Amino acid sequence: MRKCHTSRRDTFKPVNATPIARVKNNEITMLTDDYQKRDATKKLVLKPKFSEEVALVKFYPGLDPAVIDWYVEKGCKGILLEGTGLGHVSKYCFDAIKNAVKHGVVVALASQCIWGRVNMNVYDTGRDLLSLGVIPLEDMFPETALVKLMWVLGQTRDPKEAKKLLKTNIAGEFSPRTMPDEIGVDGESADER
Amino acid sequence: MNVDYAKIGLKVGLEIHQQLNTQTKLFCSCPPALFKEEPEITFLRRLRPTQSELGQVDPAAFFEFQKGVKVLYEANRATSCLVEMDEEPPHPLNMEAVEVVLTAALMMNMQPIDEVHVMRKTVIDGSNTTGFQRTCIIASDGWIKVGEKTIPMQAASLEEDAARKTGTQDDGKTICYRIDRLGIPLIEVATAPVIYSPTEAQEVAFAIGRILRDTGKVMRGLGTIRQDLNVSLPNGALIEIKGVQELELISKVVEYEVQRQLGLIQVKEELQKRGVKAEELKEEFIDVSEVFRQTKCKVIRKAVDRGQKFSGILKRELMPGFRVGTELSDRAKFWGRVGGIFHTDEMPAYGVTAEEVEALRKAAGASEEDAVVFVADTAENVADALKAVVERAREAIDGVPAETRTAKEDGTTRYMRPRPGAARMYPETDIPPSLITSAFVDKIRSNLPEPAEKKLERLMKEFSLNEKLAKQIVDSEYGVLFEAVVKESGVSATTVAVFLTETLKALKRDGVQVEKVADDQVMEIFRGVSSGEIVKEAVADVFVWLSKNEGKNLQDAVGALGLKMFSKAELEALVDGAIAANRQSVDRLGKKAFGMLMGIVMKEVRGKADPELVSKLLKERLE
Repeated sequence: MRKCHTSRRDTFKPVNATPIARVKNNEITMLTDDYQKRDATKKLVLKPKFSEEVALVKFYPGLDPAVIDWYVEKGCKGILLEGTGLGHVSKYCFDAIKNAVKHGVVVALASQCIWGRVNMNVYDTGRDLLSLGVIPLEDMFPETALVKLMWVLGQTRDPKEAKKLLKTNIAGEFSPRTMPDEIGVDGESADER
Repeated sequence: MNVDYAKIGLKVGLEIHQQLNTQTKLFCSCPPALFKEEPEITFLRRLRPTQSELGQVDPAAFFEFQKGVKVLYEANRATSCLVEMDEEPPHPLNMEAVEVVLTAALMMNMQPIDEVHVMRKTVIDGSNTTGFQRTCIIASDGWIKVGEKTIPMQAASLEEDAARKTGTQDDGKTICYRIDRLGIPLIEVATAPVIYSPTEAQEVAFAIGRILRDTGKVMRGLGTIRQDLNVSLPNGALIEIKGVQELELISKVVEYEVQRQLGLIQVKEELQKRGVKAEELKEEFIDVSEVFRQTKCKVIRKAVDRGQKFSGILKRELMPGFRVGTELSDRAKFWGRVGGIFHTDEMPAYGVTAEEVEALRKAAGASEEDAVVFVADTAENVADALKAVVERAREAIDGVPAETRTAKEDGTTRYMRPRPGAARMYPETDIPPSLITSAFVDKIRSNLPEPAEKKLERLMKEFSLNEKLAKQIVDSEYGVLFEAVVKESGVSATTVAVFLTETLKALKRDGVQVEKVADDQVMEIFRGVSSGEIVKEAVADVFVWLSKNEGKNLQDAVGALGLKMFSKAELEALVDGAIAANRQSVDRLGKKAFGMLMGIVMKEVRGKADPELVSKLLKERLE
C-alpha cells in the first residue's frame, strides 16, 4: 500500500499487488487467497527491536559519494540505496559502496520506480553492484525496505544473517510474481488493440 | 514396402523433449500449468525485426515481418506473470530443473559441464514473446545401452517451452497463442545419428523415455513429450522432422520419410533420364485469367508456370495421400501465402474441364511431356508461390532438398521451413552463468533413481507383484503414481497395477482420453475403494466418467453413475426380502439355498455393494 496522491480520498493504492478485499456497505468481499490468514494455533512471538543505525540514500546524477562515507564513519550499520530503473547507482559511487561493505555495513537496494522489480543481472552496472555485495530487494518499496532493514538489524548484527533475513519473505513484503494488471488504471494497457 | 535399411544406409538421430514437473517455470516463479478457461488477459503484438548484438537482421524474421502478421497473446493470473509477457527480465535459472536434467544426464553416463550459459535461439513464429527461445547445455558425451547396442548420447539441455497456438483471427492475419505453456522447463536429449532402422529408432526413444520417467520429475500425457527426428540417406538428404507427439509413431514416421526420399531419388533419376536442366525451368509466369473466364471452378483466376518435361511426375505418390505435387504445393503455401496449387497431372478435376486444360496448355505453350502448374490468388502471392514452385522443381533434379518438416498425426510429414543456418544462437545476457560444482554433481550422483532392473526386483518383492505386472509398471508412465497409490490407499498392489497398466491401455485403445484424469484424481478413486465409497469393479467406470467431465470429483462421479453403495441396513432388507420371496425353496434347501439367493441379491446390487458383505449377511440369515 502506498500513498499515491497528495490530497485525494483514494490516495492509498496497492502497488505491485492487487487489493486483498473490497468493503462495500459494511460487507467484506475477499479478492484473493494470497494473504496471511489468522491462525489461532500459531503462537505469537513479539520481536519488537528495531535499529536506528540505518540510512536511506537516494541516488541521483551528482550525488556526492562522500555522503555514503559519512554514514559509514558515523557507525551506520545498514544503508538502503534507492537506485534507478532495474537497480542502478553510477560507477563513481562504487568505491564508497565497496568501503561500506568492507566495514560490515549491510548495503541493500530498492528501485525509485513505483512499479516493478529490480533485476541487477541485466546491465553491467547492476552486475557490478551485485559483485560489490549489494543486496537486491525484489519488488519492495524503498520505504518498506528501509523499515525492514531497521527491523533486521534489530534482530542481528551479523551481515550474513541480515542478508538472509532481508531475502526471506516474512510478511508478504515482496512477491516473487508480478501480475500484468498491477499497474496504473484498471484494464488499461500500453498495447495497441 | 520392404526396405533393407542397412543396405540403403539409413541414419537416424533422435532429439527428445519432455516437460519437467518442477515447482516453478524455468525463469520465473509461475507454476508450470496450463489453463482451459477463457483468458483473463490478452495483448496484441507485432514482430519487428531489429539488429542483433552482432549488427545483423535475421532474414527469416524480416520475411515474417513483411507478412504483417499480428500475434494475440492469451494469459491468466494463475499461470503467467510479467516474465512470460516479456515485460520483466527473466529471473535466474531454476536450479531444480537443472538438477532434474543432471539426474537424467548422469543416468545416461554424460559428463556435466561446469558452468551453465543460457543462450537465445531465434524464433519468429510468435510462439515466444521475446522472439527467441532460451536454452542451455547441461551435460554432454554419454551413452545408453539399448539391447546389446551402445547408443552414444550427444547432449542433455534445458529449454523453455513455447506458447501454444490456440487459433487464428481475421483470415489468419492474427495468430493466437496462449502463454501458459511458455517457460515450462523442457529437457532435451539428443542421440548421435547411429540408429539404422525405424524399429530401432522407436526402441531407443522408448529407452530414453523410461530414463526420463525414472527421474520422477517429468510431466505425462499428450503434448508433454515431443520427439524430433533427423533422418538421412546417403543419396538423399538430412531431413529434420519436428514434433512427433506419440512414441508409437516414430517407426512409421521414419518409414514414410525413407519412402519419400527413395521416391524423390527415383524422380531425380527419371528427370535426369528425360534430360531436364535446372536452367530450363524459368520463372516466366503467364496470366491465364482469360482461359478461366467462364470456369466452373470457383477458386481459379490467375497465372501459370510451365514445368519443362514434368508430365506425370507430379502425381507420383511419395507417402500415403502425399504426391510430388504436394511438395510443390507446400512450398507455394509457405512462401506465397496461397491456399495451394493446381497442376495438369491432376486435371481435369475440381470443376476444371478437359477443354480448359487444353486451352491452358496452349496458352502456356506446353507440350505433352510438360506439366503446367497454376495458382489462383493476388498477383503478388501468385508470383511468390510460383517462384517457390520453380525453386522446388529445380531441387527435384538434384533429388532430396534438405529441410525442416513437421510430423502429422498419421505419421506423414509436411514442409515446415528451410533448415536454419548455424548461427541462430547468441548469448542470453540477462541471466548470469550458473556454476555446476562437483559437490552438487556428487550429491545428485549419490541419489540417482534406481535403474529399471533394480526397480523390477523391488516391485516384485515389496508389492508381491508377478514379473509380468511388475515389468509393465516399470515400462509404464505410472511407476511413481503406482507406489504412491498403493502406499496411501492400501488397496491391493495387484489391483492398482492391473488398472494402471492393462485397464488404462484398453481404455486408451477405446478412445478414452486417459491423460485428462490427473494423478490426484486417480489417488482419490483408490482412496474411495479403500474407504468403501466405491467397489473396485467400479474403478474403470469412474475413471472414464472423470475423463469426460473435467473439474469434477469422485463424489460427482458416484452421483452421476448411480454408484452410491448400499448401506448395511439396506442390504439386510434386500437379503430378508429375497428370503421371504423364496420362502419355499429356502425351507426345502436350507443352507444350500445360499448360491441361488446370493445370485438374486447380487443381481440387484452389483457394483454397489461388497459381495463379501452380502455373502456374510446371507449366511447369518440362513444359519
